[in-house]
Amino acid sequence: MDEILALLALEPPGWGGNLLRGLVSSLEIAFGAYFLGLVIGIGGACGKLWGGETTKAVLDLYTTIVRAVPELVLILILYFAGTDLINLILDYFGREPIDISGLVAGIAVLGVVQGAYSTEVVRGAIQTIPAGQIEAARAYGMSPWLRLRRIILPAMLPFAIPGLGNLWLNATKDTAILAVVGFAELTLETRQAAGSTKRYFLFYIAAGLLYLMVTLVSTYVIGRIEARVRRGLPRHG
Amino acid sequence: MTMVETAVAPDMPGSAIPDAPVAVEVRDLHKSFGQLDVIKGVSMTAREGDVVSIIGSSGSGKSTFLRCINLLEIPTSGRVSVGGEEIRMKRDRHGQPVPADWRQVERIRTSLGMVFQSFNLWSHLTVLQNLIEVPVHVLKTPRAEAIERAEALLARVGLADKRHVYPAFLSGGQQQRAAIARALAIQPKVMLFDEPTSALDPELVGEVLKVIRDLADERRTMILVTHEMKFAREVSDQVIFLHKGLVEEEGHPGEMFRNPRSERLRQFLASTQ
Ligand SMILES: Nc1ncnc2c1ncn2[C@@H]1O[C@H](COP(=O)(O)OP(=O)(O)O)[C@@H](O)[C@H]1O
Ligand SMILES: [Mg+2]
Repeated sequence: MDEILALLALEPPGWGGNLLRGLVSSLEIAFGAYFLGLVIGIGGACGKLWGGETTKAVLDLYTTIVRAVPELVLILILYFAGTDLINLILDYFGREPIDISGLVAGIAVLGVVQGAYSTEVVRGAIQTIPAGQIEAARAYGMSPWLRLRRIILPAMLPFAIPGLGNLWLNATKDTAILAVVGFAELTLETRQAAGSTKRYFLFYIAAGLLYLMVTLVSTYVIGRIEARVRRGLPRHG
Repeated sequence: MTMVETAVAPDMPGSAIPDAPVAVEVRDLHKSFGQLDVIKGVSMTAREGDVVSIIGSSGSGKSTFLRCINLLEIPTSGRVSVGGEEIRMKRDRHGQPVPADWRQVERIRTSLGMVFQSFNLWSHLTVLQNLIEVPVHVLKTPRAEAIERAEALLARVGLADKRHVYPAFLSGGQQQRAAIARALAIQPKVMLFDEPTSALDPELVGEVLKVIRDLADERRTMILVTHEMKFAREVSDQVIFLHKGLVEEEGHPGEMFRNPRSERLRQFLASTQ
């Protein structure tokens, strides 16, 4: 028992500090990617619902590809192709290649993936709003932007929260995939700790418990948010 | 009312005050949905203080006509003016009519208080929030002033104690009274009603009609699509009977209901007895 506590201690030679730093990195990416995804999702949903032919075609392609290709493959493609592309563009303009920060790249890559799923969740939720409520907003002289901000987005929230909640949980777990591109999030830190000490079981259990904790806290918070945004809906249906 | 009856020639559309300024003017309105011609040339003049009722069987185009006044439906042709200001139209690149300036439409809409058959209150807002939404965010009324006015209106429609309740927890009659208060909260020039009692259980119709009658009594300009013939007869200055997208007969309710000139109106009135 003492030995386990020593291995998990926050100060070196314990590995607990590394694991927690990894957890913080994972959460940073998850937050960033989730909100980037949400912004893409709201824009994507509006484009799919009210955009022109071309906009709709492009968005359909985007959501179809993201949902068809395994996330690991997609992240590898986006990560390596994305950084290559940026450096290619920089080179074209005669600039030095840059080393894109792992955090920014991780958020961008996961955000693009999240955005596709958010688009579908938000679009479905908007379509669930009774049409008369949006019509009333038009009849009372609200501009399209005001309608979106004041009526459509808040009215769709109760229908979107379950889906958006799941997407948040996915976002926290998808960060683990970034270990393959060498980003020091929780899974990679765990692998290093386990590899150095040969205590695989201990460290992977510890990491698993940390992920579980994140999920439990998230589920609780999502439940509270859902209850709050559902205040205006009748108890059943 | 008796004074009005004598003041208006029997075959002329009635008006409460014959030379009051024109509140809503519609000229030769046409509206089609694809191949389907729904409104085929309808004109109407509502002067300030008038209550104009639009009657007709289901599918005759009453809602479409009303919705063309605030451009919820875009007329295929014809002219609509509100408060003397004509809504400017143009044609898009497919040759379809569209408003020349949506800002103008949005501004004019804030002077038209629309009440829908299915209430259409915003479900994520409480009753009070529903009433101040447009005043605060569209009309830029100071919040405190908007709340004060909203509370007075809620008291007036008998919903003072429901101001912090969400619409889903109200009865249909309460929701419609709240929706009427929401329309009044924008201080509209004209109220537009599209069958305000048709979605209500029979026992809840009276409380809503009472609110509308109060508005008529205080000489508010109103355009009212309704199936309540007795009510239309009592409150209207002018009645328009639509049949298949055309005005089959129009005039003062006393005249029209007492002795309809067209066979169709006669049949329609008989069927609604
Ligand atoms: N958005 C629409 N698209 C196609 N047809 C419509 C639309 N709105 C109304 N109509 C048709 O126009 C006709 C008149 O409808 P409406 O104005 O609602 O009649 P009313 O209110 O008198 O019952 C009906 O045949 C209806 O089916
Ligand atoms: Mg109708």
